[in-house]
Amino acid sequence: MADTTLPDSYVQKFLNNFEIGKINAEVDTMTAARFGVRSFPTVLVLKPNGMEIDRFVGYLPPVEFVTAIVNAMSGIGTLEDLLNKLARKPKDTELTYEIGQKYRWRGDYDKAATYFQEVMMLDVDNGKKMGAQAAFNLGHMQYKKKNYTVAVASWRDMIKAYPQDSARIEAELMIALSFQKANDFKNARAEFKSFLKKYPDTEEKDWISEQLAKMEKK
Amino acid sequence: MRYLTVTIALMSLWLALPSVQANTRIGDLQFADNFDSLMAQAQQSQKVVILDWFTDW
Repeated sequence: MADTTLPDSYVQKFLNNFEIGKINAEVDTMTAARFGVRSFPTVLVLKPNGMEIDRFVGYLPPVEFVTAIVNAMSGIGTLEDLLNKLARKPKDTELTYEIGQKYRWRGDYDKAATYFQEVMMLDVDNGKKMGAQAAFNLGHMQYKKKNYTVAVASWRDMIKAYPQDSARIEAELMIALSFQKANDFKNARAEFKSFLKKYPDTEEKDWISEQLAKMEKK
Repeated sequence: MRYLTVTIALMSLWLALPSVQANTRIGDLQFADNFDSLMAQAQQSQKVVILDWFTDW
């Protein structure tokens, strides 16, 4: 984001009307904690009085970035907007999922979990592919909280419940990573090796080999 | 000599300040103090604030 979208001339012109700050989360952990920022890149839009308007997680190309900010300032797609819409359409799977994501990006994992669990009930056959993704997110929030054992259990449940969904592949990799983060290198090695065996053409091949080499030394 | 060193250090700091301010546009807010000054600036200008969090990972 900082390297491509922000320096873009179209974005630069647009940003003239704002106060801009670029924050290195590794250096300024205090401000990240203050706003519950746990995923990167995150763009936060604040009113001049510091109240949050909206936030976006993940890379946004220039046009999408400007559109997202304009929408946020018009109150479109903000948490408040989505909650109002859900009040009118209480069983809407997409809206429920989006609200879950909004809370997730705000670091409010308890509220996010409530919405993701609701999505799993609404999309019980995973016809919209949202049930599996919501289940994946439940594991991911535990991972972010460093509850690695709970994260692994959550992802194992997800794989069992949605064996055909492609999100299962990422869950398998995250299980290996969770063991590694928990310093359980024996299980981490076993999971990484099993992943490579199952998906020999994975794009993560080099990265997994690096992790395995790192763990050999431990 | 000590006073000269202190004076030069203070002058360097003073000279560096405008560039810190200018950098705030697309600069690095590396410390909470800088964040607070950015918010104070926003309150004065009444402009919406956009914060971009990144990591070097």
